[in-house]
Amino acid sequence: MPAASVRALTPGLLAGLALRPLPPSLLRRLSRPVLARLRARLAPRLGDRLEGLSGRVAVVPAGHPVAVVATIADGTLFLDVDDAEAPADAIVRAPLEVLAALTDSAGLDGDATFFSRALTIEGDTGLVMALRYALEDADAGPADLMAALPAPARPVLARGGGLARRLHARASRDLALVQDAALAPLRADLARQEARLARVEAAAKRRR
Amino acid sequence: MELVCPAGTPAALSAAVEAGADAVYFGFRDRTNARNFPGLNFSPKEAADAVALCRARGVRPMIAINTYADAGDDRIWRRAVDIAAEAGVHAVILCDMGVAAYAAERHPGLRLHLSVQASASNPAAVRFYRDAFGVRRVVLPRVLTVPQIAALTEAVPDVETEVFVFGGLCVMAEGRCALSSYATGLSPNKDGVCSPASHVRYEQEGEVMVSRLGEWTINRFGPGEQAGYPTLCKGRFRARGREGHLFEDPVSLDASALLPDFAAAGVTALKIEGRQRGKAYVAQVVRGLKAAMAGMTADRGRAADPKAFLEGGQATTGAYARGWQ
Repeated sequence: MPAASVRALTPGLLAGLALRPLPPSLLRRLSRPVLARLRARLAPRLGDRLEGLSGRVAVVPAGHPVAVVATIADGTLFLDVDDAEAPADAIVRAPLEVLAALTDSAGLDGDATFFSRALTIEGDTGLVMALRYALEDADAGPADLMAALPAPARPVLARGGGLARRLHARASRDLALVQDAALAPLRADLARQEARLARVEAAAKRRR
Repeated sequence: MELVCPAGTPAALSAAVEAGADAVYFGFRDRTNARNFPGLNFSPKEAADAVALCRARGVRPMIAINTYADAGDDRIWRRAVDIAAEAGVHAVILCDMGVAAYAAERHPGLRLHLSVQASASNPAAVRFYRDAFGVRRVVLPRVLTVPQIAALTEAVPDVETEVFVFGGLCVMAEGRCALSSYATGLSPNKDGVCSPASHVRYEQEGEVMVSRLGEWTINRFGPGEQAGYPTLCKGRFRARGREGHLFEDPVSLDASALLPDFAAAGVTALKIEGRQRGKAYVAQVVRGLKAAMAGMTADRGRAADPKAFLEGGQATTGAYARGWQ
């Protein structure tokens, strides 16, 4: 999936918008046990890659009301959920689909995603880079998240994973159609303006 | 020709090996290598494990010790050479003459490659490193044309040549560039950090992204405009009333179309830049280039398209073809 092909209107964005009416405190309470188990799984695999670093990195999926906050304290990683607008030393923003694809070696590359502007970074760039390399080297990915979910949810998600992927792909295609239809008048207007600009430039060149 | 692939972490190294790398290069977690970024690189133990993995899979492991030693204190550079030699690497990639002399004297069986950081770009320079230190291969700066590479390779036939084929494009006199040092006080050549992350800041001003290095604003990327690395050489500045990239555009090198030309020029190895990149880049670019090298261009669509990884969304063959002339 080239980063440039990532669209703004995605099922992940809609999921985030659907979560917005829920209070962040409820989302935090629900996610804390999952993140604690996730951290316990990842900690032994992070080695000492975060050594000497301290700070708070907020990872905000586009449109979501909350961020996953990675707090590094003297090289040790802690995970929590906080309001998407809460202050942090560094903030990473990207569509949920992009963040997921960054964990896959057949997926997206962090630098390329940044170049394509599908992902933004603000604040302490060094902290973000160190966290990225540590998580990547720990091979952190969807399997860890699955294992960190409550036991009753795992078999349901494992069985329904294929169906969820198919539904996501279908929804992505449908939303792409919606996005294209919504942007069609703007694109036509832009094409007209570009043509007009080209004519003006050509005329200016002839006069020179 | 062999494909020499980057690895910033053990996970990236595994990805390179799985993707079919012929050789992998990596560095230690300190100032002895030119990608000294936080969270990146290998501990001595990880390096030893990496060498063992490479050996088991028939891949040649190389360790880059490619910064310049401090005046009066080259202990960490010497130690890096010792650790690499003890780990059983295929080669060390060096630039500092003192470090090369140490490696040649202390570890006479250790294969020495000359880093691009030494900027050796003519036969006399290459002969000097061969005669003085027994250098077996030179990584050529990205400023030579293919005919110049062919002439140099022919002029010093007992030293192999390695050229960059894909990735970040540095057109400076490598090992001598002081732009980043000027802006941040930290040197790519002494500290191993070009545009150190600790000095880089990005700010969103609505849809515009501003990149800063130290106290310098080096670029403003408009809405939707592809971005580049936060290096001064790729910054956009206003001079004499005109705004533009004074040194070079944000663009990546992709010389995969020149593979037959490199082969005809007598090049021994093709290098992929990007130890700072993730394993997705490593896996997909290595697989794509291996397919291209095998002449599987018709099947290239099955491998990932390396063009998805370009800085600024643009590719160039750089000085190799000098398409601008």
